[in-house]
Amino acid sequence: MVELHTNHGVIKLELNAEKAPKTVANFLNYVKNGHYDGTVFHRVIDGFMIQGGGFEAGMKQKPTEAPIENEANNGLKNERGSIAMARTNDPHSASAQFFINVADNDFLNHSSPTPQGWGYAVFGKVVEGLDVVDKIKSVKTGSKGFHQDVPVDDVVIEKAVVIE
Amino acid sequence: MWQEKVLHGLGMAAAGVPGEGKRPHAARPFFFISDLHLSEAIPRTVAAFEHFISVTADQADSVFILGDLFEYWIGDDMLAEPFFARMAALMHTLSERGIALYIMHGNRDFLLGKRFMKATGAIWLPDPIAITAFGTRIALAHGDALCTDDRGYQFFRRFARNRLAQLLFLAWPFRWRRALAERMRRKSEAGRERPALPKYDVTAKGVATLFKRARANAIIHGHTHRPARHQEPGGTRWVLPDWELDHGKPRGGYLRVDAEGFRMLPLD
Repeated sequence: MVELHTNHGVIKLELNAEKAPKTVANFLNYVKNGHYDGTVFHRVIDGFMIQGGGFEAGMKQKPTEAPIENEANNGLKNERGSIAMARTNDPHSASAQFFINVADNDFLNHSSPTPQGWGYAVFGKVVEGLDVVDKIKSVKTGSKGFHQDVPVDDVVIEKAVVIE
Repeated sequence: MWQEKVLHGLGMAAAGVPGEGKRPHAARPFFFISDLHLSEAIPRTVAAFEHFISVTADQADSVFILGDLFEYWIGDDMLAEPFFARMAALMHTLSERGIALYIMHGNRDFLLGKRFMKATGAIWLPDPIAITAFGTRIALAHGDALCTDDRGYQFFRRFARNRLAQLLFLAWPFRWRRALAERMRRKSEAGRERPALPKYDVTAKGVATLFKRARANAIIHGHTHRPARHQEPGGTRWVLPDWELDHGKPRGGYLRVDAEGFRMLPLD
């Protein structure tokens, strides 16, 4: 289990190392390194998802480690409360950024091993603090620099900790 | 508003298209590509383009580039740089070989200007435009204007396509323009990590409007990087693939249109 302590409350995550072993190991590595401490949810779209783990307040991007293999073909679905890896157009490009689905986003699921169909790798779910996620999804957002859907007031992950 | 013109490329004039099929038997195919995002940073993609122009295109009557040939274009003075001069000279060989070249602006290279068209021997195409090829009336577009739900972008697009705004930008010293373009590129790459909402794809409304205004029964566009053949209420919509042979799994390809129909083909 991992807890994200945000300035809106605590989000408790249960990770599925059986279905997404590489993604979970990668995520835990960032948690243990303290990578997520002080990062923000920088992309918040109500009705879709909240995305974070890559930027510090002020939209300063943090360096990451090597990208990982996409495990989206593991059968886990992008449903409300699930956590998945963000990535670029390249299916196997996820590093540190993740997102929490705030709705059932079927179109993000794996459908075929092609650039269009790979989907986004789900690797766990929120088991406590879905109300915190819902609070975050409703914050006021705007554009910052070239980024859209950025919370006007920073939504900060003060620290991320592994709970045994 | 709606733009349309009869095309008189070298190759097309020879084949008698798109003048509603005057000499239909003389018809070599039309090739359509888009979204190559060429720059010196992606040498394998550049090499694939060089092969396409110098070898693959030999069979074609005309080559259509429907936008985003380059990663960005900040004015035709970019032609002074050896890489872009080389690309222009390469494309110019098409007209020397009797193959017409048509270039449409994309959302990244909408500042490709008259000097560039002259240096490449290309004919500039407005976006959108309708052509008649092999008996089919086809609407051509880059595709960004069809993403009508992306209000923020459409607002930027109207500004970026404003001639006065463009002239002011082009009056800047070259290195300022380059610095701004580099900054925008870095920022857009930084912001690219995501799951995307479907709204950033073309919309049913945008597509239906184009079919109707162009009175076309086919649309060819790029931009979304989601190559496909869609059966829409108004006709068939072909989405061209983007090209990327330097990072991740190689992608690319072209659409071939001739008397036998439309075919999406991989790169040689």
